[in-house]
Amino acid sequence: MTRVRIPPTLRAEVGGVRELEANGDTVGDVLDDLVDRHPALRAQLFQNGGLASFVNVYLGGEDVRTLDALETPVEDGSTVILLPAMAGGRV
Amino acid sequence: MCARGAAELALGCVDAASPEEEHTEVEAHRRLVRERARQGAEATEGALRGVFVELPDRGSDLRLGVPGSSPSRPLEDLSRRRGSADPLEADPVQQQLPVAASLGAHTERVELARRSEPRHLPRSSKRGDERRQPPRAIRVQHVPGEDRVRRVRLGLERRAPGRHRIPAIRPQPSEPEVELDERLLGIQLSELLQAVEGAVGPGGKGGPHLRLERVVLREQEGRGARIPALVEGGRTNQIPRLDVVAEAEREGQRRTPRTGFGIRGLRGRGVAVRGHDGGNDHRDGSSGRETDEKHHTTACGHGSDDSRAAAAIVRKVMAGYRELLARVKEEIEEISTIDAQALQEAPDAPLFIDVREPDEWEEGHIPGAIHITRGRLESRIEGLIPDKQRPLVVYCSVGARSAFATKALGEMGYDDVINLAGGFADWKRNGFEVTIPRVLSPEQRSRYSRHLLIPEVGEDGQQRLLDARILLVGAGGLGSPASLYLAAAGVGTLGIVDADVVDESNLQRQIVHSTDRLGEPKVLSAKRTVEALNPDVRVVPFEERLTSENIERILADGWDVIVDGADNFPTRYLVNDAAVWHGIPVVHGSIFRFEGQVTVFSPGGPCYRCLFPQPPPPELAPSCAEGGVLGVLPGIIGSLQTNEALKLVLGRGDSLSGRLLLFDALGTTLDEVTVRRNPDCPVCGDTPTITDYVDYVEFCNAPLHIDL
Repeated sequence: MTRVRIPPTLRAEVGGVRELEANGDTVGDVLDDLVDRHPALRAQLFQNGGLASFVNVYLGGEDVRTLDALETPVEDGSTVILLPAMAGGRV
Repeated sequence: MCARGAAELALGCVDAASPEEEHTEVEAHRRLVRERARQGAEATEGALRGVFVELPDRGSDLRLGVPGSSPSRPLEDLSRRRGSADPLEADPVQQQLPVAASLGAHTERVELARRSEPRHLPRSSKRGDERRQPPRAIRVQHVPGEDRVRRVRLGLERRAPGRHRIPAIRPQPSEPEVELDERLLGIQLSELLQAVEGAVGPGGKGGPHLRLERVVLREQEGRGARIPALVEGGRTNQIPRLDVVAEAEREGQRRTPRTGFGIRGLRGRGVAVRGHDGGNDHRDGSSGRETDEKHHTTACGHGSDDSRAAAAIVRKVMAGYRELLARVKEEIEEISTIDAQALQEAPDAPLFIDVREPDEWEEGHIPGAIHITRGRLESRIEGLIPDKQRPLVVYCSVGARSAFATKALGEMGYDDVINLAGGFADWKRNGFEVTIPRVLSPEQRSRYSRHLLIPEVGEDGQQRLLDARILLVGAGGLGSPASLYLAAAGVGTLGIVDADVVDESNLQRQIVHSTDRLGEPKVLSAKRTVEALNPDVRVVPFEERLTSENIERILADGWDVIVDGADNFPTRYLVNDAAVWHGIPVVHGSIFRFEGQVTVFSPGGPCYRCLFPQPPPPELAPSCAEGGVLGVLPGIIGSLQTNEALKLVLGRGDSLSGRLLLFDALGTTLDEVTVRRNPDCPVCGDTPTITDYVDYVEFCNAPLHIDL
């Protein structure tokens, strides 16, 4: 079981929760599991069959792009952080 | 003669012929701070009076016997005990003992012996002059205190030559005293030294002073077990002994003891010693008569049956300023300004330390020098220069104060310290480069006092802040706390870019504005607030939206740091690209509802495009105007940005470069993820593909090919 932190910009797609649990042996599997249950997330996370360039996925504080991307193995009990860019500041 | 309950002093003696080298272990110089009037008053209140005995010896010893309340210990009795305790010469003391013990509550007698010169030293040609000096006796006086501490005061008294007894002593008000009280016999050596220092420090210009040279305790075998360590190699049947040795010195005869007086066999907790100094007449009248060895024997034997005996020897020190300086200069290394200047160019250049007063420093100093006034040198140097191997050149105006400073640093363990001979005056005479520091005004010192107290900021850091130029992109939620705190910190120039006017919906979080500013351009509102907060700050308003067209003009003013508080992706990518090309660090902050992100994009590190190569498509990125934001969140994130900006200006601490801080106000959690530079980054990568401004609005609104 992996905990997935949902950023505020994506919470509308998952019913407003800050954290979800998902299963999978790799980052890709975990995100697939998440998207299967919350299809609205798919457009926010995936692009051209891969991870969208405007969203970062961190495992253990490291961007999975610097690891093995979606193939990065996930240990049970670890935390994945989803982080899309935010622009807000002045409003 | 002694009232019951008054301090009773053990009869003892001193043999000042012990090698002087034994008395060089501890030195202490302190200014005398005794009130003369008090001395006179105390002279009449003692319950214990002294009987002064001049021994028929070489004339250089003066002994003082103070009969105690116990008639069973007359001087004669003591003479038989010579063998069990011996004078200093038999005491090969090699070490100081850190702890003394309580040495007992009763002291029977005291004997003071004074010598003008040790036997082993060659006679000085000035000896004849000394002989003409009126001899002085030692005054002993019990000093009743309000507390239970018993004190005895010892002072030198002048007396007519040739007299062997002085029944009445007239204290000379100008003479300093040494006072030891009973507690000194049961406390740490260091405390004892401090106490004696405080009483007999240097008397000022050319004034007399005593130098405490050694404190020794010895223990009698099987007794006085509370004294943990005793004389190395010492005899086991010796009494515990407290030797307080000060050395008299004369001009031209460094390290040569001239006069001294001693207390030996002081027993009891109620012992206080004050050494009187006779002003310029420190050379004691010595007649050159032979020591009365028999009397010596008599005296020294006394304490042997009491393990709680102590002895003290106090010798007088006289060293005028010139002598002191000359002596110090013999102990340190010096370098000429020409050689020092050449060293400055060398690869392993020494650090120059300026020990002059602040006003001297402000008039100019050696470039690169650090400033610590002489008075604070010892207390501050280790904080500023922890590395004691580092080569140091110490200077003042002409090399005198720095000579003492150099010696002090050497004593503190700084291995490579050199005094700059001739000092700053000579440096200037040679036409070498001089830095004239900018100084804070008294108002600024007061305003920034809390910064000046922080070692990492200090005056230098505050000047950096005052010199700094920081550009704020946006005068909204993030720009509000940033502009206020940057201004309060004294950042001298703040550029603010914002095209908006103050709206009522802003005031929930944009604290740099206020209700009476509604409708006013944000940059002008912020300028008013900030300049009212701190008149040191100059605000440069840019009432425009940052675009590819105006950014070069705005950046042309030259900015040290950009604080990015923009509210849209096009501006963020624009700021990023410009900052990469201009080599300006960007402190990035963004907020949404309860969450914020902070990081720093520094030249050479990852940039915003490394973190987020592309913005989300507009349809997938709800704006803050839609999502809302907790009012305090920009306060938190903007303050974190300000912290980073200040650190960048000060050059202190670890910046957030390479780290993205994620703050969640709902859970009050702070997470950190790594940001790595992307070698393929189109702007900061190894082979950049974007080298000029693009249409950032189009870039951010470009339709993404989403393949679901």
